[in-house]
Amino acid sequence: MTKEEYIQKNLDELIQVWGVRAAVVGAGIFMVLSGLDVLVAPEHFRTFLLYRIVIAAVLIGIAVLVSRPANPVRHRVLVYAAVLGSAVTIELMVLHLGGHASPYYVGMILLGVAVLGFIPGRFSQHAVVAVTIYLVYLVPIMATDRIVDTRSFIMANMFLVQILSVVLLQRYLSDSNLIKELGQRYEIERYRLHLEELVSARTEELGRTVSRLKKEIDVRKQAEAQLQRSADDLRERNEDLNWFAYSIAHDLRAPLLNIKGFSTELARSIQENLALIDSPAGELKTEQRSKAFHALLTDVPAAVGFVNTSADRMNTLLNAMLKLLLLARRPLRPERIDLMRLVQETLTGCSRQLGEKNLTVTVGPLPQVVADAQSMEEIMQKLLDNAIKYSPNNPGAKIEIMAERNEQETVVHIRDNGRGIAKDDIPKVFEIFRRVGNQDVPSEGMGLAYAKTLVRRHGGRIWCESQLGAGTTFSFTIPAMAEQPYEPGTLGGLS
Amino acid sequence: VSGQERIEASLLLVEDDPGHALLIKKNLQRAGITYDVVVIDDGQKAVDYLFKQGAYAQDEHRTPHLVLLDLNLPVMNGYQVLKIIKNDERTKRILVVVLTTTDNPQEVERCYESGCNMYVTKPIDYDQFTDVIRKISVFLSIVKTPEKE
Repeated sequence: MTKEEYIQKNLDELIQVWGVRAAVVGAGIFMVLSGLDVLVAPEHFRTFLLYRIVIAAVLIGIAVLVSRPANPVRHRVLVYAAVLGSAVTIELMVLHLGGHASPYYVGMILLGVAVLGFIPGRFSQHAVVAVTIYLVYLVPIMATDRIVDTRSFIMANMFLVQILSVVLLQRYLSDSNLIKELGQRYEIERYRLHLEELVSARTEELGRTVSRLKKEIDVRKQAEAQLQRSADDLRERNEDLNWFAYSIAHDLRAPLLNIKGFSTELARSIQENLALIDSPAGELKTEQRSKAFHALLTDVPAAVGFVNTSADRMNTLLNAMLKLLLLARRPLRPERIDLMRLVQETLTGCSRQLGEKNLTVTVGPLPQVVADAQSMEEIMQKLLDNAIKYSPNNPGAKIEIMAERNEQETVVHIRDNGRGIAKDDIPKVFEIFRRVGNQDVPSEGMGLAYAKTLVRRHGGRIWCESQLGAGTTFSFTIPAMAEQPYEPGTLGGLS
Repeated sequence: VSGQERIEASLLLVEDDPGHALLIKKNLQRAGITYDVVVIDDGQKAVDYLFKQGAYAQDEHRTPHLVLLDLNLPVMNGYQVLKIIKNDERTKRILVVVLTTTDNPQEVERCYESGCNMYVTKPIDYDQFTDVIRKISVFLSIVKTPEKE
């Protein structure tokens, strides 16, 4: 908005406000002055009252119209109409009551003072109003009246012109002030707007900074949480490692005792028999001979057998340990995997065992995950092996594979209706070389430890819920963020 | 064991490692334990034997005076067996010696809390092992066992 437009707009608003007030006040004055008619012109009272009522009604109507929002030109025209109407009404009364010598010319003065005094506006408009009022007074008198009382007429004209001129002059001064003031207000307003813009721009910038800071705080919090998770994970891995080392050391003791024991027994047996052979020939009693034979034929091979099986057992333990260490260190190659296809392939691989046991396998809808394909195959293989192994050998046996997915992770469940695991034994199932429950099924006792290691390497969890006699559900999670799989240190991921 | 106070003692060895079982038996004999040693290789069977139930329902054996118990056993572990023995009026007087490779202090405490009479760790060194079994045998030979069950 330019300065000129701003001033015009404000003037228009002023005209509207004051136009309404002036019209209402004018209507009031017209009605009040009917009291004057009673005193100075009772013979015209009725006629004048009619005029007064008409003009008052017109003025009120104009006031109502002007008070409504409309085009400012329309407002201005309405105000002019009000002035003209008022002037014509007064002129009618002037003509009735003495014409050129009528004292009611004062009505014109009153009208002029009221309009020019009340309604602010441009000087030019006021000048037009003043001239209009004067012409409405003068022209009909000149046209219809014969000027007899020259003195009164001249006096009336002089007063009218003088007073209108003075009011006009006063208006001229105040209007130029008004326009100057509006100009200043415009400047102030513009400055205020400028300031507002400035403030809003700054506020916006501040908002951006705050949100950037918030984001940074979030990132840091996430990093902290990640760090905490890693720390927890490392601690857990460390505990696992300790437990793993302890278990290995412990489990190596049993075969070691056998080797030491039976080798000592062997040495002793050899010495005893050597002593027998050393004794003079023929002195060897039948009893001693049979004892020596018994030792050589039974005890010695048994001892050698025990030494052998123990060495084999140690070898098995060490191989399992090495395999676990390798699993924990093998690099992961995350890729998009269709779990459905992976499970189907694993099931095809197990079809013989499945057929032998009459197992029904239900596979629910499975999502895609991002993980190391080989690891996922192995995890599935171990968990399925386990479920098949411990499923009952009857037609009701079934295995269900399901998965659900949320923002953070995919949870896979493998449920069987086998014999279940006792509550006390549940934590032990993932331990190395640990087997719980009835040992009628041959197993190395490592499968679940391998599965746990691989799940943990993907940053997931694995757990087991079970009820004796009702079945077991193994569940594991693959985090959605496995897009960048968690890579533990060289010792991590054990057990 | 003198002739006058002759006790028909019997010993149950619960041990799933056949090598260990044989070595323990050999050393018990060498240390002068002459009486019967029954070997059972799983916890559940051991309980069945003691209570003459399951596979041993028709069996006519005396209840052993002493049980040598390993902890790491199939089906039912030694710890569970120990609890069953010590919580039953019929068997709680049986001497239970836990003989195992585990030397985890928590495990030791758990066993004593459950009423084991002696906890012994199997030494890996065979001379020590022999020595331990000999000492257990000495202990067994001086312990007075109840005349009646």
